[in-house]
Amino acid sequence: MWRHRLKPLRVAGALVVGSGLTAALMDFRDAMPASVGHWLGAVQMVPATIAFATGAGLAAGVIVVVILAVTLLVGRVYCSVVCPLGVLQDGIARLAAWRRERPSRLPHARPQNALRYGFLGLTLAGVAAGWGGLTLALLDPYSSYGRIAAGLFRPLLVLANNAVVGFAELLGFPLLYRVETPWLGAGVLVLPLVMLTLVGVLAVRRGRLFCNTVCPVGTLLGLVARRAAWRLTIEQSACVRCGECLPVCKAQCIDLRAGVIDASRCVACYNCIGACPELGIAYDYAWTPPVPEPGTETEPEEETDPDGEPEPEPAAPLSEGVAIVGAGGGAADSVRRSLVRSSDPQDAFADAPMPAPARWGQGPPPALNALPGLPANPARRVFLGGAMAATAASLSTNLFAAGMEPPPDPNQSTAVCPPGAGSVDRYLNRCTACHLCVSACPTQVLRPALLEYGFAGYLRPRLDYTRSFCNFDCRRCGEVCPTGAIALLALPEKQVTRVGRAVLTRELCVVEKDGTDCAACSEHCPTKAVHTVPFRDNLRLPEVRDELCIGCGACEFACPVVPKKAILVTGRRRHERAEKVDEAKLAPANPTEDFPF
Amino acid sequence: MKTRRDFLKTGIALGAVLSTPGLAGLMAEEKSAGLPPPVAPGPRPVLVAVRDGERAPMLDRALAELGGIGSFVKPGQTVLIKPNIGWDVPPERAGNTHPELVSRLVTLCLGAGAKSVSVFDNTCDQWQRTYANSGIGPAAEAAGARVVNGKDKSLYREIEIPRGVKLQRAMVHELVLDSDVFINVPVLKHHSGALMTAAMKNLMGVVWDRRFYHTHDMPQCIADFVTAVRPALNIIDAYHPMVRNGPRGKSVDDVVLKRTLLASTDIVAIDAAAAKLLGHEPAAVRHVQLAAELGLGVIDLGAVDIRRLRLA
Repeated sequence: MWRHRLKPLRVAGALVVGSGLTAALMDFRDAMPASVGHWLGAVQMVPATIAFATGAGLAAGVIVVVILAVTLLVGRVYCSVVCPLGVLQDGIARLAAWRRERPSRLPHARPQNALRYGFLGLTLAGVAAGWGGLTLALLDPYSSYGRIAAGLFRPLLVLANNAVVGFAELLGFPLLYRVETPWLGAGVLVLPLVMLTLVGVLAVRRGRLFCNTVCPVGTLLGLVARRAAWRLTIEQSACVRCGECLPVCKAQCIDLRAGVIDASRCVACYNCIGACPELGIAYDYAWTPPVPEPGTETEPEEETDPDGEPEPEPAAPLSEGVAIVGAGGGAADSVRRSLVRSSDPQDAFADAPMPAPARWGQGPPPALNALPGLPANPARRVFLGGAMAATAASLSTNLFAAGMEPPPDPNQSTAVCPPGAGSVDRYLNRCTACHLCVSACPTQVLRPALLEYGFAGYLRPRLDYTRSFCNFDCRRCGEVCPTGAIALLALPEKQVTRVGRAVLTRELCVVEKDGTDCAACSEHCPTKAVHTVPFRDNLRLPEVRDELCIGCGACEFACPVVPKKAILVTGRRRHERAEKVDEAKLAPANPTEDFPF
Repeated sequence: MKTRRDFLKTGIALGAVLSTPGLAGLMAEEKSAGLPPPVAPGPRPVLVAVRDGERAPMLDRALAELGGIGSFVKPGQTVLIKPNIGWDVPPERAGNTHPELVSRLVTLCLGAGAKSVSVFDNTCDQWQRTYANSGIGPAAEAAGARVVNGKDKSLYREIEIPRGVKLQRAMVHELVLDSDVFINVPVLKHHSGALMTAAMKNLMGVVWDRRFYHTHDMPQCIADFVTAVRPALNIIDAYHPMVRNGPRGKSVDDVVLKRTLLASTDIVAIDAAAAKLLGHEPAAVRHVQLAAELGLGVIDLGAVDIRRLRLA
């Protein structure tokens, strides 16, 4: 049956996307093609939306439309296949399930509307208030996963690699090489640690609760999915209310008493299809519009539940339902008792505390604005519609505005943001701190900032010249960046992009201070902005030609003076173009000349 | 009182003696075993200078003049080849030793029966990129060499440098300390700090902490290091030396075609000749002068047995 192939398909898709993205984020050997990380990041909702809203590319617009269209057609497949944080939660839950004999019990739960719309509203408000960069950095599920994989998983992989290298060396079999363990620092790792703990605990205990409360993408897609054309529904004629589907539903969105599946929370994992012994979960086209019988239109949410209480938990694992019935049943088990007693499933529903909604297609066609299963809640609709329209408008104006503001003082010192970022403001508005570039940077000069950009720049990568410097012929950060925060510059363009400026403090310089040759700075300078000029005692003193300096940090990194380096690079708030000076051609050597000795 | 002239005299005399590889090897700690036999009789160090050929034929010719690769590499020995692989630039920029030369040398060493040939450098730019884009990584590997990480601190061991004036200890790559034969294959370049980089300066790439050099009189440290670690053979790639903007260079416009290769067991003599190729007096390159003063080789090219060869 085709419905049973959906789950393996979903798992396969999730494995492909999840492992590809994880490999890109954990890559420490420059082994992954930049396109893998870039595209698996670019198809994520938040990066695509940012790229689209800021005009970074037509492809991003297509991606956003495709995600919304797919969700509108078949529900939140995105959350089960594309979103790496969702896949991570499924993986964690799966690992935890191995340790148990039975799957955890996840009874139906009511939606946490205040929380989920609250977080969505918070996100939209953050964007509207011009704090979109930070808000999205903190709440985007893809970026949260990126930081977990880049910040926590990657160092572990490096540790494992180094252990293997040591072992191979013992065997006289040098194959790999050691890599410095890329810990990002406690101030950076605290957030991914908290996030991993949160989603881990929630995944084990409450399935996809995170995705239906905190995650703004989940909530947004839920608003679309509740209108999905194909939805998982309970075949009333087949359902015997055995409850087998309940424990496998990680969204806890199957309401057996009402006989409905809350499409806004369903993450389209398709677990219930296979779990149902009666083949009673349908995945049917739901847009052939019936009219719900008057008076039976129900909110899937439990705020309309008569008792107003959360769904009572079964007193024992569901598989012991028969025993419960035999023993007279727990207080909450009237439903199941009726299920088991009744030979006709339809009778069972007669006992249900709530009337079952009509099956789609059974009634006369409704008006188009009254699609079935859509709770008529005009107030929410108006609120959400208005909020989203306002936010969409302000998102694009805010993000665009960064490029149109009066130019900030280009000399203002700040952290150095990567070439392609344009300006610090533009960059902080677009970067969601997914740390794909941090993993991909071959020199590892890109490191998440703490407060170097200010509070709003928390976790956004900066060029840290105490550790390394920006490779002149590299633009890998631009190649991987999925949001367009780091635009991909042509290499010649990148090589004249001034992200900072080097300033030499002569009194600290070895040549001036100690009277000995050094010139480590000028050695490393790729543009020869730092060169040496004759100095006393046949020495060569470094000198900076500011117009040539691109701020790559090679000089600062190489400077041997401690604790304060004699040459330091300060960031430019707004990037500029360096001059390119063509030097005179050298006279070719005389082909007939003899040895000069 | 010992004048500089006296010092130089003894230095030159001592250098001449030391320049025979066998004795030089005895001076180098941990390097006493397996060093090649003297290549030339007499006290005058031999310097081979070849012109006007391609790299591999010039290398072959120079080695033939020194008695063949077999006089340096014996069957079963482990060989370390240390090119200059400092910068992430392509071969035509001449920022690094040319891969053709490295590849040919690897082939010759393996042909002479070497048990293994290793290649590494403590690069300035990111090492995988530098190995790849210099062309040396792929070329050496294709020729059968082991290309080793120079950026792994655990592969470095500290040695004492008792004769060092400023540099008295250094962390040195284990391949330098453990290989039977150490062949130094630099490229000749202008250098903004050291004026010139050739054979002696290239040895900074086997040391972990170069910042110590830079803060402790770099030319003196360069010379000091040679008192402890001496390559059995130095081969300088001067095919198209970078004559300005060194040592990294800005473009191919920084190189001048000279089609020259130098080879010698005397690291001071070969650097003196290299200085001449760039138009400097040898003594103007301070680390060469200081090495001569330490008696590490012959700076006076008049006292060197120079074999001048032209392939065209």
